[in-house]
Amino acid sequence: MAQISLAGHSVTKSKKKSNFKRYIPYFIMLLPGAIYLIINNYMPMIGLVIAFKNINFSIGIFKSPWVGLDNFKFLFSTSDAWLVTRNTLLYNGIFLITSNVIPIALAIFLSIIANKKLLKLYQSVILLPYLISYVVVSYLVYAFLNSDMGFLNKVVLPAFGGQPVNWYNESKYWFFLLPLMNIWKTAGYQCIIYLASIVGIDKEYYEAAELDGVNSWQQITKITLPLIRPTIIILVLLGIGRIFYSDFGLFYQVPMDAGVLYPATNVIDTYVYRALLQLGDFGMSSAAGFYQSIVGFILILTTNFIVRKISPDEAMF
Amino acid sequence: MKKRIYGVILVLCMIALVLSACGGNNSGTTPTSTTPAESTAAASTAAEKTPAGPPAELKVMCTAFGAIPTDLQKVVDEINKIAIAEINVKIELMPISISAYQEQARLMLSAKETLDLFLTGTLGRFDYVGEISRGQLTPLDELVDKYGDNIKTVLGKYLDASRFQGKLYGLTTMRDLSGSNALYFSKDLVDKYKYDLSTIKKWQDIEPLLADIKKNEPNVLPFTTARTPEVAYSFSGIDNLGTTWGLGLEDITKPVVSCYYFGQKWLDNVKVLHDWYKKGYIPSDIATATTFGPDYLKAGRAFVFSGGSKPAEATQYEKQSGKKVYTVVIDKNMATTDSTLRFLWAIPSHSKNPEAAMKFLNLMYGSEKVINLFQWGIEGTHYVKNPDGSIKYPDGKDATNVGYALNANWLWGDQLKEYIFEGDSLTFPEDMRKYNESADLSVGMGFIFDPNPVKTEIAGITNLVKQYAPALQNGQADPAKVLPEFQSKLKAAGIEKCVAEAQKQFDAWLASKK
Repeated sequence: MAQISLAGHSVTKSKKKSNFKRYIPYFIMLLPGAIYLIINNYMPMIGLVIAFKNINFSIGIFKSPWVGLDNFKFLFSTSDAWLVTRNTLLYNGIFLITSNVIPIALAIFLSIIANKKLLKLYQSVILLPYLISYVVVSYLVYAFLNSDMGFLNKVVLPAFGGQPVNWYNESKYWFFLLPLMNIWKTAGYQCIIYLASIVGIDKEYYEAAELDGVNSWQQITKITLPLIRPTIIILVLLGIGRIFYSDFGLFYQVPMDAGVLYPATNVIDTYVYRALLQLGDFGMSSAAGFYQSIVGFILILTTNFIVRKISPDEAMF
Repeated sequence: MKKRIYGVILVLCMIALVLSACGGNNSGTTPTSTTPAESTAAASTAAEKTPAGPPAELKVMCTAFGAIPTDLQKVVDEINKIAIAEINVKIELMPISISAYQEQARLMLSAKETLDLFLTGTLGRFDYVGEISRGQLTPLDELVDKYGDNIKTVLGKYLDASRFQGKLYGLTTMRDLSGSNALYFSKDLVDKYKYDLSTIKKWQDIEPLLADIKKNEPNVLPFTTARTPEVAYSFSGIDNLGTTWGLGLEDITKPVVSCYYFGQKWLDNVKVLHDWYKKGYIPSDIATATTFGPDYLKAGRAFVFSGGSKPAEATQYEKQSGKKVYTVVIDKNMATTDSTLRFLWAIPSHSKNPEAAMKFLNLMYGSEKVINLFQWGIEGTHYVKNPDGSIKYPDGKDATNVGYALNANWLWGDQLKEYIFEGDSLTFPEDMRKYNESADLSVGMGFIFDPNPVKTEIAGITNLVKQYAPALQNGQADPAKVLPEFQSKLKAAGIEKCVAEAQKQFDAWLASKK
């Protein structure tokens, strides 16, 4: 009896050992990425203390005096500070919806295309705006919206009998212009991710559905969407984690840093940049970064918790 | 088995790739072709003529306006020949494009990278006060006393201008140390319509001319500016004490600070400009303009633009635009903190060679040879001398292909020792000296505001100023509607606290000067 159980015990042990041995190459492959993450993302976390200090480089970071929450005050002290928080949340809310709905639609369309060459062409064209820097884009937009010579004011509006508009002088238009530009730029990138997900769905589901006489719309809602749900959840979670961050290029470069447009274009990132460009205060800018990341962190944990309650398989962690 | 071997080889290749990428990053960020020199300890600290031992090596960083010259290393070698012979010091010059300069300086200071001498100041692109409060600059008083005789001679009373709380952290250069405004008219248009410019005494006097041009030349923009416009402020005669959030001395003879956004002088100018804007004399996108007067002039679309008034500024614009201009100086030049402290040479606190750096600076201020090497390059290669003492480009070369042009004649210690370029007035050094000496000295010249006690308020105010001021300054916004909103927001953000703090610091600084 004892011998058998001993033999059984040693078999399971050696099974575990050989399993680990099998995975060693994978761990080695993981190593460079892990080292990079540790050096680039985890070690600098020590620097978070800068947000709570008044830094003096001649005595070093760790000996500099503590100032508690003073560095955070400027993020809440003026009415502007609340305005930019509102702007950031509003825009990111809109972006979160448009950055998932539209790319999913695009991906579904692309997945139906049979012609391989055309598919590659469409993919490249949709992805292209993502690769153009916002600095370049801001000048392209300037060519469109310039009040003297811009394309819109000189060609398009007169064709429809409209009056030229001073685009850079009216903040209300930018509530539409900015989401529009964001969709144009990022739809391609998100679309590719969703497309990869859709392509992985087993064709047999669709064939079975056709046999059952299900129409296209129902195929989409009953087969495609549920099967890419994990992807959607991950991307939405990541989006929520970045809810206090903004694309600096979009909110600073494209409106050409025009003061008049600030009510529509000032977000936390640009507010901090403008506030500290002259002051150059490291403590305050660290405080701003800390604030943005803490909020994102809490939101991700909360959302993940909720998702786990609803369907445990699909939570990220 | 085969698959396993391939797998292992792949992993080894990847690791090798990662390691080589890590190693390659050590070359740093210098744009010049030479490798960074290690700064050896200054072997001799005594102020002797030719100390023995290997030369101390310095890294010097300055701004570049335009491309880095191809012959930079040749010129630096020539400079080093003189520097090694006289003070046993060798330099490596690192010009950084002005747009990237602020980032680069910040990185090098906070990472404590090798740097011995660099440019800072109160100009928006630099951060003199911030660097001092972060302990990143070496105090220079002793160094100047020991090694800086030339500097003391050249700068005279302007040496003390850069003192902050009594200590010297930066040295200005002898250049146009005062400033005021002038209007530059397109010669072609003035001659065409036979305008009489002698009647222009104040800047508002050009209004009838603007109206005329607007009527007769539809393609011309009547009024533009030579650089980023702050028109209402520049024509108001207010001294902004080097700040950008509205602090200023309304009257430069009285030591009373206030926020000029609440004052009458600025408001008067704003009203005139808005009137002009409505009449179409000012381009509608002036607040976000990236094209300026001289460029418009080049395209034949400018009539008059405002600019500074230093000697030879007109020739600068004429070179830039290729057209001729008439100059009308509008007000008397003022010497203010802003004009004197715009550019300062400073030594980082982590430099291993502060004495050698000061010795080199002293050499630069005193040596005509070194200054002209920095400014114009090597005689014979980059310029040739004319019989009357002026210089010109060698045959076959011009501004675009001469091989060396840093375009920063105000940085090299003493601009008055530079050779005159052909076409500029030969009396330029005298003109400049007279210009500086005749300047009205603002009572606040040399006062530097320390924002640390009120930095929370300043952060909020800066955003407000950027939002409202450009449109108001240039006439784009209607002061009747926008100004009250601006003022109430400023009050809510704590402008009164900031002004009170500034007055407190100002009084303390005045008292310490006595």
